[in-house]
Amino acid sequence: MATETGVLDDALARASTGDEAGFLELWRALQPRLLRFLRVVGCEDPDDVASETWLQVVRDLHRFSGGEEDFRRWLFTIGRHRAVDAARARARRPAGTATSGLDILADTQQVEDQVLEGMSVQDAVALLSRLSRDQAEAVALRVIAGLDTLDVAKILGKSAGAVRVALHRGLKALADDPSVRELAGRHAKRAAALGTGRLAGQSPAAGAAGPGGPGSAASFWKLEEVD
Amino acid sequence: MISDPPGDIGPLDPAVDELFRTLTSEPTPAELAGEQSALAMFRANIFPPDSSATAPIPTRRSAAEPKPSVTRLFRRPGGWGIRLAAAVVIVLAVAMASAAYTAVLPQPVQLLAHRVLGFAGVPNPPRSGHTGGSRGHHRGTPTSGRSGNSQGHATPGQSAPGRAPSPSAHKSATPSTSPSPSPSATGPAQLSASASSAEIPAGSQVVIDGQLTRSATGVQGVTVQLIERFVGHRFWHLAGTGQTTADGNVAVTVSAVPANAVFRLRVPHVAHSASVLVTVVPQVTATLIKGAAGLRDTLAVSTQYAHSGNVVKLEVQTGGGWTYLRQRRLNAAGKTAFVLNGSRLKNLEVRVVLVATARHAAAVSNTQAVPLPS
Repeated sequence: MATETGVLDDALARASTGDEAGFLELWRALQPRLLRFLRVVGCEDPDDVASETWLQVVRDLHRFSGGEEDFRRWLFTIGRHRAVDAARARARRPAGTATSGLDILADTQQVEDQVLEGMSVQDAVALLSRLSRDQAEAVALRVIAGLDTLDVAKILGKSAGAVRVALHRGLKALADDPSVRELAGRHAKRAAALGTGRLAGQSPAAGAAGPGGPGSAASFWKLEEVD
Repeated sequence: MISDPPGDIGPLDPAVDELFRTLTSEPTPAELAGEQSALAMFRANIFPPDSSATAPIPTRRSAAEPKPSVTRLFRRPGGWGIRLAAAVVIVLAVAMASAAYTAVLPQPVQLLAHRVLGFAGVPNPPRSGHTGGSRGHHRGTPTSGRSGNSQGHATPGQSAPGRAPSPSAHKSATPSTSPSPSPSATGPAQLSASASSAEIPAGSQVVIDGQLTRSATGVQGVTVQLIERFVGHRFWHLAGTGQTTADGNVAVTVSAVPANAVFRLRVPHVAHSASVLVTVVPQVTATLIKGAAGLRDTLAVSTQYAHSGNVVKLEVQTGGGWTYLRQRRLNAAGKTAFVLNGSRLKNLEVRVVLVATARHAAAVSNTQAVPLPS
């Protein structure tokens, strides 16, 4: 899964000339991280904000020059701005029936879902978003977006020193959070029981193609039986 | 994805390390669910490569890409002959421009200069009777190209929802391709739209029919765009195009509709129809898996075109009606499961109902009979 920085340079160059395959390569690589970043910063409709972000990126892509690093910094800068805009727009609207009764009822099932799925990306994002805004943004841009400290500082409008302080405080707060330890411990235990190195990192659809694969019905139920 | 968690922020606590691994793990299907929508948005909004010539924002130039300049031309390796020729051309151009500004050129040449450099103030020939030159005059100006004027040349930079700059958009923006005169020439054009079905199975096709009329008469031969916006999304994208028939009718087929969508037919700068909502019904399948002792049977639920977090409700048939038992949320693979108590539900029929969301309508699964405990 992990790839070297710069592998998207070719896709970026092709997308800039209107190549759809190049754009899809970029989108597939960066959309999940953009969504996770938006969730960490508390965006209430990350799908919508991500769509707005990509729309602006595509419209201005012909004016962009630079490599993958520059593109990621640009993408997440736009994403952060759009998230701020969305939050302001939401604040201007009167409070309405934002939460349906069904959602409240369904949330009570999340513990059951976690048992089925192990430590999910959703859990991890939720834990990260419990940090202070400054710390969560710094850690998310550094870890999820994969930007270096200087780029994070530029996006947040802070000095590199201030970002380093926020990063270290955020990491310490996460390490001291019992929920992080509990979830990680449960995840490791389950992974060991199933003989897999990692559960949360697996794509549920990845093995759906063949019988008996990780996404097949058999392994899906095996997961529940172990729990 | 891009890279592993950065290693230069110091040694990580194992639990935090696990957290970061999860945060940078492979994308889930739910996170990539909008791929087709994103691709459609890209098609509708990407600029042609040569449009950068009109971009108002300068691009960042890399160090490896030298800034072109007139003086640099003279530094390139080459004979003095090339440099001399270039100098002669420049001198002649300056001389011609000066002559054009003072209107001393022969009439045909002055007229040509006026057409080419009219925006910069080169006058018409003094005795010219040409009165319609203003149209040609403005055609070459930068402002004319950006204005999105009545000629129907929409500017990519001004692309707003429903103003997708595409080759077909430029084509259809000029109704003169029609044997009939422009619909705006003699009265307002009207465009109607309707869907072949207001509710379809998710992922299946839908046909959007419409009619372009002017003064209750069909307009033939006009390219009509079908634009689509998924419910919950803000941008429109081009879903297809069609040509009106002799009576103004047009039908555009969308091959696969994965989520609730709003469709609209449009002839850019001329007319657009009202919005047509098409809702999709996902497929929900319930499979009964018998437990070891026949007491803890499992009802496996799988869906197509539903999403992670969607709510499914388990219902049991009692007394001629369906009674709600409990509910769960779909996981990232669009699956979930209910453990059934065989001794309490024996011989009863159960089913699962997927609750409607903005992306899809409600859907009901097949029924399954809970067997007697063995």
